[in-house]
Amino acid sequence: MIEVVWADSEDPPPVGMEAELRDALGSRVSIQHLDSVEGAVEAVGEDTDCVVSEYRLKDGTALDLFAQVRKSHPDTSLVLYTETDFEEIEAGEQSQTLDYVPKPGGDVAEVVAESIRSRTQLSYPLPGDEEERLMELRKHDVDELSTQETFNRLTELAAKLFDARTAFVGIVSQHQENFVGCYGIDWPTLPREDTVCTYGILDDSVMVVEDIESDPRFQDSDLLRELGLRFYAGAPITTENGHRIGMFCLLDTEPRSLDDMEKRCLRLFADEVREQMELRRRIRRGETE
Amino acid sequence: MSDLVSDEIDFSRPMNLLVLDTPNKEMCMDSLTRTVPGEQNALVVTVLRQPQEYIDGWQDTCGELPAKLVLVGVKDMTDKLDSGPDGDVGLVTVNSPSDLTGLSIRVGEALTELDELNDRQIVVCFNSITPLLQYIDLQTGYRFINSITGRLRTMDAYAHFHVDPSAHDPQEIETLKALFDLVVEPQTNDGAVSWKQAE
Repeated sequence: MIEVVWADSEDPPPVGMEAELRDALGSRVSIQHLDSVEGAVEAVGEDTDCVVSEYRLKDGTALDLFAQVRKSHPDTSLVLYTETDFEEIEAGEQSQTLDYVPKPGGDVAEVVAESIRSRTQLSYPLPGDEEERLMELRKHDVDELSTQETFNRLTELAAKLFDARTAFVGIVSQHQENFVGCYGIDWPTLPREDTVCTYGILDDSVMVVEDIESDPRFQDSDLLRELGLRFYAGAPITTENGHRIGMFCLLDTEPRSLDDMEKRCLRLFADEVREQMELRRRIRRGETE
Repeated sequence: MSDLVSDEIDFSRPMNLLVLDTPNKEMCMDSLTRTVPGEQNALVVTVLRQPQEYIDGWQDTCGELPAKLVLVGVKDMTDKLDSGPDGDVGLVTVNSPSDLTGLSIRVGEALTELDELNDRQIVVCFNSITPLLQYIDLQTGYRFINSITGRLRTMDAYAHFHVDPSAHDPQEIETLKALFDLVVEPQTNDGAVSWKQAE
């Protein structure tokens, strides 16, 4: 189900918009119409794919709305669909990426559909098999598989073995990373754009970031800076079908490196996680059949 | 097809192309004039070169301008353009290269206009990603370029984006590459420069 929040104090979404989006995206579509910044912010949730807004709303502007949505739901597409002239639009302090469609005249359905279909407002690259990867992930529901105690043990073992401050098992879902086993940290989830594992699942190799502060992909991350993290190493958790659904990782507060033997050991931990999930999934499937 | 481009590169389809080089006028015009100017609508986003240089480039290379040309520049650029008697040229500006809201709107405005005009081929030059990333972080820049390349893909545009690899960490360039259909870099043979697919 595609979910769109449509903010406009005067006009409802154009007639036929739902059908156009449904045809373009091949999925059911729900459009929720709100007339205020406050209402629209409240309506945006984890599953909101896109927010479309007229510039002037009764309690603020689209840019006020977009700034809040970008902060709380960074992967959501933002489309400014307005009849307000450029000269009258005040960008404010927070400059941000958005798709712009003039009203009337522009093909807003096409722009909204493309921003959702190709996820064109993400701030990070996706693996080539993202769609299949997410489908595979649905088969490995870690809550159902009761793996947390096992994964906590594995991460403690890894942290001690590598003399690292932290180790964790992270599963990378559509918009966030879920930490399903941890030692030394206590994070339930993080937005995908804030995690190093987002880059780790792009290929099969063990990813090592010797110094996070000197890597342009992560050096501006407030979160990593606040946590004082400098070193990252992660081995992908790859399913039988070859999809990388997450990472087995080490973190430390000082820059360091991993030699080939250590990389191999880290990969063994990732393989162990994969096997635990696979076995439990098979047992569970057997139980329910 | 121009002899500036290696035969190994398939230019037979619309694409988003990343050009790894210092801004290069020949490469720019080579990519922009892949179709006859009279049969194309063009968008140039320039925060490095003066808009007039593009008009001169088209005139020098082809003797004519695109059927419709929109230039998006920054505020301190000259707004006096000499496009000749027949040029249908528009120039709009934003406050600074880091004004992503302004750039998003100006680019969206221009692409909507060019798309609605007629069925001519849309060609685009973005010059350049490098100054953009001097003001904003990689993630923010990635999102912005992602949004523009996504929009261009739906319009079957031929677009090229410049980035100066010597001004960036290699990891930045590697990350940006994911947004493009093809990445090219210059090669020199017997003093002549041509373009080859980058590793």
